[in-house]
Amino acid sequence: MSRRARIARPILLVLLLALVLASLVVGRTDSLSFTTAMRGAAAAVGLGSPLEGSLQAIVELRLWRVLTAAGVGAALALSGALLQGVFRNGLASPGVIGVSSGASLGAATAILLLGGEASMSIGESAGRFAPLIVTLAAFLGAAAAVGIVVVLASRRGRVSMPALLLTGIAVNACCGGIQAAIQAFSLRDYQLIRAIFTWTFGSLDDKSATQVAVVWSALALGLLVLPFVSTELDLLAGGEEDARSLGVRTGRSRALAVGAAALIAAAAVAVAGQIAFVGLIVPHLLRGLFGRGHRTLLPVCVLGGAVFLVGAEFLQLSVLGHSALRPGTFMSLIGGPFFIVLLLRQKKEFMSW
Amino acid sequence: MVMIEARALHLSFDGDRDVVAGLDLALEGGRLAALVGPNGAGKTTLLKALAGLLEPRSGEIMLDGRSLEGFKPRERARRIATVPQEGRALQGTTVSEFVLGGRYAWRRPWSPLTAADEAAVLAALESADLADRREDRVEELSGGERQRALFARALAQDAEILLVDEPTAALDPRHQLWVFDRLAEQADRGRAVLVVTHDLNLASQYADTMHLMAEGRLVASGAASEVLSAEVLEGLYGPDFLIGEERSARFGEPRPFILPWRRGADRPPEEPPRGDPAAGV
Repeated sequence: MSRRARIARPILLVLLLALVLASLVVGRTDSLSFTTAMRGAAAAVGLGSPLEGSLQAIVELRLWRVLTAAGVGAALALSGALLQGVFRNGLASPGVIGVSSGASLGAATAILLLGGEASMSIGESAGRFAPLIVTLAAFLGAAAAVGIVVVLASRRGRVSMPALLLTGIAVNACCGGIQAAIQAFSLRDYQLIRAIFTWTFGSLDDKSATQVAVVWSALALGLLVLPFVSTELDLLAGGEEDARSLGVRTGRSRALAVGAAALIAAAAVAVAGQIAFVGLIVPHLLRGLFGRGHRTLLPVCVLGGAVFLVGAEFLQLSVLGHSALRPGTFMSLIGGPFFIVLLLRQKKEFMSW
Repeated sequence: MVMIEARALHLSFDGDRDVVAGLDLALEGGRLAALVGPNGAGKTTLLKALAGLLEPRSGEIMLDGRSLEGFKPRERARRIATVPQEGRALQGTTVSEFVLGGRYAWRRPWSPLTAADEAAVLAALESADLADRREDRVEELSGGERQRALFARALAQDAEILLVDEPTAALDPRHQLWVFDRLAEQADRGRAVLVVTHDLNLASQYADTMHLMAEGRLVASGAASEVLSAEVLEGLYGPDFLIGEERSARFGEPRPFILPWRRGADRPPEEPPRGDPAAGV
């Protein structure tokens, strides 16, 4: 590991902590004093007595919001970095290869089947298991989408990148179409359409401790596979056969990496809806800083993704306040142009189809 | 001592035509074996199968009295190291990181480097004459240096069987000799070394055993002077070559050498049967 990476991790950690604390103080509504925010946050996790009146609720909403943002940012960035490693292309990301839209469709389907009750749970407080069921459905949707994409794009065990991107587009379109149909069917149910709408544009508002737990546990599961895929992804860069000759179980490593990427992205989408481009931008930026070795890159992406999304939300809320955009919208606004630049820089590669 | 053995081996891609058909071959420790033969003979395919990278269609490859297919990948990689014709690595990988890849089979997941790992990498870098370039990035290396990095990585693997595919294709004559000196060195240390090469002369002056392959079969095996006879060569390559003899430094005795030499009218070489396009020569 390079010196840069060793220094970067504590810096990112401190930065994340500072941003989390700042996000408790500054929010959509008035700023709180630092001590008030701290006392409220402590009370939210069962330490000390709650604040008076609506203050406690405000701090708790901000706390779950920022913890969700950190978990979702970390999950999306790690997912993107894993997928880019597996497919050996910087353009792979949960959004591009269908994970996000598959998860979104799974979540929408679950909400539709569970009906109004589940849709309530997305909002304020409701059934304890609904978020888990929705997450599971999102994961199944993500797994199905990525499975279809990989099967369609692979020939003789090799995944060709142009084919992957094209099938990703196709699967995204299918998922989007079905989801639009679901939305059309549920137009009469205000709660339902609001819930599904939330998924489409992403939302970090009105989160609960359960949802924080869902995204962080999925992330923890994803982190568990890192020791078994990092060196393997480095060696796979030399080609399938080469990695096998060195003793890598290439099939298992790929499956673990893609499975983990799908799981954590699905949990992120299930909890916060579609937030595009985090999985694309963060690994790309960090790769430039810390190199391509996955042993360094993957852990740094976890921290970097959390800092990125929490930071972007903090900036949005502190500058725009009440008129802050939904995170998915905001990310698309900055991510779209970024993606175009990325495509232009890879133009040569694309021209050689 | 026989270390690895192929018995009645049939190999094919996609299961249609046999690229290797009914081949028997044994590699012994302490010997440098060279596998030669015309384009499309199935040499690289055979090498891949011996490395455990291609499952036989029928027949068996035995390692320690066990079928190679029964070995776990790591277990296999500790016994068999491959030097491919060319390699790739993540952009920005340093030479020593690349060579460290050879230690994969010996390391536990996410564990720090052991003293044995570091020693093996250093020794491999020194054997490949790359010690002073270890912090450089692989993409900065010249073609010959890349070849050496691949060789060093295989040495770091510390395997008793070394399979080398066409190591001299991109090298100037001095480096060609250097590579074969290193291969002979490995054989002299007790390893079983098999090198696929087009260079009959390098094979002749260095190899303890030569295996001549054509159309998926072994045509001749034995000492260079037996295998490189005028009759055998004419049957394989046609009449256009000269054959002579010169003292080999490795063996201290004369070995045959061959020169492509046009004797008559220009004629197109017979096209070899089409094998795996990715298999190269």
